[in-house]
Amino acid sequence: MDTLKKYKRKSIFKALIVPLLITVVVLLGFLKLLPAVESRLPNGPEYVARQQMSAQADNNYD
Amino acid sequence: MIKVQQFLLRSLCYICSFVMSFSIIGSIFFGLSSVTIGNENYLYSAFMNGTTTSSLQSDLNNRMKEIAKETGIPEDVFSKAVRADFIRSVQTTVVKSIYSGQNENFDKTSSVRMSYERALESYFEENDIKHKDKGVKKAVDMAVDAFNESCGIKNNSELAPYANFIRAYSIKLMLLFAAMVAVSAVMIYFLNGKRRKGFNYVGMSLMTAGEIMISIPAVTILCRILNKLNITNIAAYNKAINQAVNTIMLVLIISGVVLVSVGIIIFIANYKYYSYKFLKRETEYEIYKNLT
Repeated sequence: MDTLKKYKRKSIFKALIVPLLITVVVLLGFLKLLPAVESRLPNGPEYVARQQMSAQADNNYD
Repeated sequence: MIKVQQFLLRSLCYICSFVMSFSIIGSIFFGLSSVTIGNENYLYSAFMNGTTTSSLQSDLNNRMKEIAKETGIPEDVFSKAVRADFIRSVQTTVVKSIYSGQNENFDKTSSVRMSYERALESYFEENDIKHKDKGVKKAVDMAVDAFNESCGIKNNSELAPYANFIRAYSIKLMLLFAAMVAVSAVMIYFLNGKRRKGFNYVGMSLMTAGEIMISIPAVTILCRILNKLNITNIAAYNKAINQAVNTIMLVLIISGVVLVSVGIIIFIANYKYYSYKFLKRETEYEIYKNLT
């Protein structure tokens, strides 16, 4: 029966703990990367700043 | 030596199952993208709904109210010039232009300008109002500018690479990830000596993929992350895109639930199989012990 208990423990580790740990790591990574992605998207802060800079450069050139 | 070998085999199995879970996510994500964002018809259905048209029209009408105040021309002259049908045709042009990368600036296109010109001319004629061409031109310019602010996309050159990448590569990437899923499953099977215990690694990768596919879309929907991403410069289009992406997220969550369920079934089936096997072995051992 000890072997079965050991098997049960290993199964629980594989079925619950490992997937949960990886999910938490991926989720944290997603939340950390989100602001960077957000700023690079069209109309994000980086995009808007770039547009403003090019508009200013055009004005200076005129 | 045997322990090191076992450790290496187990590590390889874990690596294969992680590769398998991320490949499952990749293949489902790109498969879904190919029929949604990469599909012109899906974008049409997302952009061409009545809600988008009516919010574009109400925004346009608000702008026209201000122009009417400024010019003294009644508001309905402007609003009659551009009706819902016309806005709907503009929406079609916008969807097409998302892939082409051309900005939809209706300033130079004659259709919008001509509609306003015709409406103003007929208003002046019907009411017998004397007017100067310069004045009409100014009012038309203002109306066309307002139309551009309400319905024209300015950042298509930024949007097109994303849309075109998904349209061109999503099916290829889906097939690549599906092949990776198959390869890692076969590897897990052989690394475990073709025995049933390998199914536990498959179950683990299915559960990992499922949990990630549930948690990320759920967080995105619950934290209203999509509402903060202004993908276009027009609020109504952003709302349409958000609704379309929310549908994709819901499909991802449902797929995740299915994957987790299959993973749980694999674990339960394996546990039942092994407990039966252990019980059988113990009974055999007891019989053997009693006999000898």
